[in-house]
Amino acid sequence: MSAILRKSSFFYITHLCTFCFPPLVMLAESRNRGVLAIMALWIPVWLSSSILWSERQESYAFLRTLPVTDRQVVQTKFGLTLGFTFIYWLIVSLFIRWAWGSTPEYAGYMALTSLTCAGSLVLSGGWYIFSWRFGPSALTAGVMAFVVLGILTTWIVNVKRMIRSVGIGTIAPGWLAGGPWVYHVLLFLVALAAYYGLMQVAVRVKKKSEVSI
Amino acid sequence: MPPILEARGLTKRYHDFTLKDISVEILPGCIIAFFGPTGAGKTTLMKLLTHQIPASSGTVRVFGLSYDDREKEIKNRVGYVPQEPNFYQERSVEYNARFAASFFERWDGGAFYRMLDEFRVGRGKTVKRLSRGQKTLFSIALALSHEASLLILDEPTAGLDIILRRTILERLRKFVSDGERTVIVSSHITDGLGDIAEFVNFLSEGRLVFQSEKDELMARWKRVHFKDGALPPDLVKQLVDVRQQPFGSSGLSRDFLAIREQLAAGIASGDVKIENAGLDDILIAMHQGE
Repeated sequence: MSAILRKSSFFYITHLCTFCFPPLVMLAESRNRGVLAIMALWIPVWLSSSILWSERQESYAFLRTLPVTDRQVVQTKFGLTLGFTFIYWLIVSLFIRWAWGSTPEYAGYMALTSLTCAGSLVLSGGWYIFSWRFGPSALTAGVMAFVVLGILTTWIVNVKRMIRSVGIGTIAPGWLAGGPWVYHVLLFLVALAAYYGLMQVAVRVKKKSEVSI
Repeated sequence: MPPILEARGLTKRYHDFTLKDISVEILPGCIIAFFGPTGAGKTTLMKLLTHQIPASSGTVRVFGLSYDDREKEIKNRVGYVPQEPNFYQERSVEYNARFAASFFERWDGGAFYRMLDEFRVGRGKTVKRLSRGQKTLFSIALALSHEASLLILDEPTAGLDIILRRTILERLRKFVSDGERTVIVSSHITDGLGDIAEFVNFLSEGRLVFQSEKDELMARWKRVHFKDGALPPDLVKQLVDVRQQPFGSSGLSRDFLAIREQLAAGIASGDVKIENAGLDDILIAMHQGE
């Protein structure tokens, strides 16, 4: 399993650097803490892109010849995505804490980050199923459309916000931004339950999949 | 002796092709060949036997175990060489080998690299730069390096020159020489593989139309050369693939033992000559349904 982890991690790490670098440069140049929202909003884009490149470089036909079951492959891939989602959440949270301290905006940014992470997890599960059902070519089309749309939307929304010097954290829902920390935990538990359900579906899809075999 | 591989009613349906109801029982210590024309279903069968694709119906048991609950254990003991090996194309041979080795319980790296050198496959070469034959050789080296008890090879000699083909055939023969290990091989050409196989199966249009011990097959099928008029017409009618030749005619006998008595006089007078039929001739005759 570690061989699959090592190989796929490369794409997550390179994408992590790629997607973190521009907002941090913008932060350094503009001193506008609002740009940190880009990092939060790009989490689904970053994860989708990592999955896409990881899947495009994967050889399931080769893996099927090796003593590894489809269930193990699915669990490894899902586990990897879960792990990197947590890492991304942690990194963004640390930056937000550093940038906003204990201000009221901090809670808004954290709520936004938790929401995008939770949503990204569920989205990632969906991408895997889509890839194993329809193949990497279909995944490429789907993810590329999503990534372009995601980057454009984030850019347009955030630029407007920055112009008005209003933190994008204010768009986070009040129940999460104003609620206790346990709401974040509950949100992740719901997302994890959905993710686990998708993983079970993915195992069934993968077992029947003849894509790229 | 329990079978090393057992398939029962194996069926795979595609929208334009169906592999129908294949049942085979393969004993340890021999080489079993599946021949058939292109599109007969050989690759589909090999993929089903190695659990690369799920069957529409039917079962496969390897070493008495089912892929449903013992897939890892089975694959640790099976070496599979696909028709088109799909390694990580952008990575080197060595990377792919290390990747594969990390999954096997047993791995003989020394033997693997010796084979790579023997097959003249550069370990640092990127897989996408290997020829089809080199990919097959790399795949064979992998399959032979994790102490497998069963080798399943799909068209292993396609794309190989005659020297490497002979090397591979010799390796396969050596592999089964201990009497406990087995080779299952599929091919659309009998050249070489026909010589080393002890059991022969013939697939046509998704059906297993024939399975037999090769010696028994060769004993029954003979080519009969005869001068015109040397054989009674009803006997000539029993022959298949009858051809006109400079000195007379020749045809294939499907059951030589049954007509041997009738040919005795002609053989004694020199008007009839018998020779072993080529496996290709036999399989073509079967395919044509003659």
